[in-house]
Amino acid sequence: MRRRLFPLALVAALTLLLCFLTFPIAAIFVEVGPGSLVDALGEQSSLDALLLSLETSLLALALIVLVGTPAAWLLATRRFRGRDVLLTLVELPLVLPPAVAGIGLLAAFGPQGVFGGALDEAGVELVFETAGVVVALTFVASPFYVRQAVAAFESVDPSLLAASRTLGAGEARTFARVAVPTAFPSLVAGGALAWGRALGEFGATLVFAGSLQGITQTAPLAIFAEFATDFTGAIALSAVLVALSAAILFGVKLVARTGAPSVDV
Amino acid sequence: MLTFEASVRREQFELELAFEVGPGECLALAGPSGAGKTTTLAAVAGLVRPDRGRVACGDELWLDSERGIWVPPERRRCGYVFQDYALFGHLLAWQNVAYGLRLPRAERRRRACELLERFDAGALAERRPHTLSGGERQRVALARALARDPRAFLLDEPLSALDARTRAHAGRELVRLLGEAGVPAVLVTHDFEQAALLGDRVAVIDGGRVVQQASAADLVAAPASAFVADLTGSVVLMGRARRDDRGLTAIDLDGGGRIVSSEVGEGSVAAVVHPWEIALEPTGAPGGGSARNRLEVRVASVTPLGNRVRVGLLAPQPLTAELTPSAVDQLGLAPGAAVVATWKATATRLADR
Amino acid sequence: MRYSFAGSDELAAQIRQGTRPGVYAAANAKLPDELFAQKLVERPVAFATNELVLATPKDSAIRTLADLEPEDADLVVGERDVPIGSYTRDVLDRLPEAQRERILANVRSEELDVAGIVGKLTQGAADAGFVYATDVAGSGGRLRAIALPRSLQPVVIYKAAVVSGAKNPGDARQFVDGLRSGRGQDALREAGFGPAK
Repeated sequence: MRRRLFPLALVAALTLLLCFLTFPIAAIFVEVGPGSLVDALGEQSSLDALLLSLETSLLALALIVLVGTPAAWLLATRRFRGRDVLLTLVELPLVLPPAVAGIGLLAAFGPQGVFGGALDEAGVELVFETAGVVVALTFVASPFYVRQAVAAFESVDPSLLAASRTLGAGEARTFARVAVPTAFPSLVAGGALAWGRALGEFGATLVFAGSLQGITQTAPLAIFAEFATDFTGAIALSAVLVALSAAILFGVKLVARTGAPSVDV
Repeated sequence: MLTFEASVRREQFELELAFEVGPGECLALAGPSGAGKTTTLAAVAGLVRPDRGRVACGDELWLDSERGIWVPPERRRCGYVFQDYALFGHLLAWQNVAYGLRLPRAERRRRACELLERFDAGALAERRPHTLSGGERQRVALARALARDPRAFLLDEPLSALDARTRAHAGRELVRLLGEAGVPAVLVTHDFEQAALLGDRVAVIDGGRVVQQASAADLVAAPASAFVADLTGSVVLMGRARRDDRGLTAIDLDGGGRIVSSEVGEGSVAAVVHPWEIALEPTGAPGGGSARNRLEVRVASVTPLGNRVRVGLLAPQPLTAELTPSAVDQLGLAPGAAVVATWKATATRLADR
Repeated sequence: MRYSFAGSDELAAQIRQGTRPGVYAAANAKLPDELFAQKLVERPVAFATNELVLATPKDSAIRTLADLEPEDADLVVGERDVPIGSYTRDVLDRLPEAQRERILANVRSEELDVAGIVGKLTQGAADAGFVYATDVAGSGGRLRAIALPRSLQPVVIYKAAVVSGAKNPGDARQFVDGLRSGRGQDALREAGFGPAK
C-alpha cells in the first residue's frame, strides 16, 4: 500500500493544480454565451482594445527579442565580477508590483522625470501615447525573455561553439549560426512567456500611459473599465483575450517542436 | 611542421609542455583524464589562450606571448575532431561538412557530398546527426574537419565513443587517413592501445607535463617511471631495492614478497614486468627452472580475451599474467586459488616511482 | 471592523456578483439607488456632499475652464461609468457645444478611479483634471483647485446603505448613523466634505 502512496500523491497534486488553474478560466467561457461573444466583438471599443493589445505587445516583443538576445548571450558566455548583480538587475521588474513599475517609469520618463527634459527636447512623447504603452510592456515583460534566453544559451553544448570557431566562424557568426538555432526552442518559449505577460499587462500601463480608447486602452484596461457597468461585456472580452493567449501559447509549442528552421546560410 | 610550447595556469591545474610534429606525422598524447590532454589540443587550436608560449604551424605564427601575437581560432586552419564529434544538430550532415566553406551554395553542396563520399558516408548527406550511429557521426565529423584543407589535424579521443567492433574498423581507416593527409596531426587519448595504433610517436602526459616521449614500442620496453609502465599495460610492483650478494638487485615488495632484477637500482623503486612474461605454476612444484623470481599469489580474476586469458593475481600487490586457455584449464585456475607466479630476473625492469 | 476601499463602481459590481459586506458607501447616489432597485441593499441615505473642482499642478498657468480649450492642454478625466467621470460629463454637458467639443478633444486619459487622475496631476504628466475638492485638500499642497461656476456644479451626494443579507445588520445601521452624525460626520467635515442635506 505504501508503495502506491507516492504516485497517488503525485496525481492528487496535479489534479488539484489543474482544477485550480482551469476553473476560473472555464467559468469565463461558461458565463458567456456565444451571442454575447459576437456582440462584444462587434463593439468598436472592444475591437480597438484588442487591436491595440496585439499591436503594442508585438512591438514590445520585437524590442525585447532584438535587444534581449545579444544581451543574454553576453551574460551567458562571459564570467566577470558583478555578473550576479547584473542578472539580479535584469530580473528586478519581475518582483515589482505593476503599479510600482508604472510609478518608476513616470519618475524616469515622465515630464518631470529624470529623462523628461531630454525626451521633451528630442520630441519624444510617451505619457498618454501608444509609445508609452510599448515602453511599459517592454519594461515588465523583458525579464521573462532575458532570463530564459540566458539559461538557453548557457545550456548550449560548449563543444558546438568551439567546433564553429575551429571551422572559421568568429563569435558573431557562431552566435547567429550555431548558438541561436541550437537554443531556439528555449528562446521561443521565453518569447511566448514575455508576450503573454505583455498581453496581460495592466497596472504599469495605466499609471504610465493612461487609458484612452484606441490610443492607450489595451484589452485588460478595457475589461476593467467595463467590469463595473457591463459585466457581460467584460466577460466576453475576457473570453476573447483568454482564447487569444491560449492560441499563442499553443502555437508557440508547435513552433518549438519543429525546431529551428534549417536555413542554409 | 607544428611547434608547440606553452604554459597554462588555472585554478584546477597547471600545464607546461612542448613538442614538435612534422608534416604527415601523428603525435599521440596519452594519459589519464585530467592530465591536461584536451587543454593542450584546445591550446593548439586557439580555443584556450596559454599564459605563456609559442605555437607555430608551417610559416604561420599563431601564438607568441613575448611579442604579443595571438591568432584567434577562426583564423587558424585546424581540423578539430571533438570527443563527442560536436555535430550541429540543427543542420543536415552535408550542411555540417559545408559549414566552414566560403563558396557559392551549389559549390558547397557538391564539395561537401564529395568529402562525405571519400569517407564512405555519401548516403548520409541528407540525414540529421541525431539519426546517425556513432561510427557514422565520426565519419561526418572527420569529413567536416578536413573540409577546409586544414594545416593541422587535431583529434580528441577519436575512437573512444565507438563500440568495440566499429572501433577496430574505424581505427584502420583513421591510420590510412592520417597517412594520406600530409599535415601534422596531434591525437589525444587515455587508451594506450589507441595511441600505439594511431601515433607515430607517443608522449605520455601526467599532471600537465610530458613524462616520456618515444615510439610506442620503446615506451613498453623501457618505461621511465611506474606511471608510464602502468599506462602501457605492464605489471608494476612497488618496493625497496638493494644490491644482494649474487650481484643482482633484490627488491622487498611493499606488503610482502621478494623479487630480483638484473638491472641496477637502489632505494624506492618500481619493478616492471610484462604480463606475457609471467608464468604460473601450481604451489608445491619443485621450481628448479632458470626463472629467479617466484612469488606466491592468489588468483583474483580470470578473464578470457579471444585467444588468451588475463589472470588477475594478488601478491598482495596486484599483478596480471597472460596465459593460453589450455594452460588455465590445466592449472584449474579460479578466483581464490593459490598459485606461484614466476618470471626471469632479466625480464624485471626498474623504473622510478 | 473591516474596510475594503476601491472605486464605487467596482464595489457595486462585487455586490451584484454576490459579496455581502455590512455597509456599502459610494461616491454618488446613482449606484446605491440602483442597488436598492435591485433589492441588494436597504434604502440608501446621504451622509456627505462634495464639490467637483478643476485641479491643476501647483504652478500651472491654467486658471479657468476656457484655458482647457487650446490644443496643447492635456486633460485627464475619469472613465464615464466611474462616479468622478460621470459627474465630469454632467459638468461638460452644461457647457456650450463648441466649448465642450474642444475640451473633450484634449482628454488624454480616462482613468478608472480618482487616484489615477490625482497621480497623473502630481507627476506633472497632465495639465489639468477634474477631481473632488477633498482630493486637492488632501494632496499636501501639490495641487491647486479651481472652483467651478455654480451653474455648472453637479450635485455630488454620497450615499450609504446597509447591504441586504448582511451578517450584523444592527452594527451596520449603527455605522451608517455614525456617518451621518457623531464622530463619523465630524471626521468627514474635517476632511473637507460638505454636510448631508
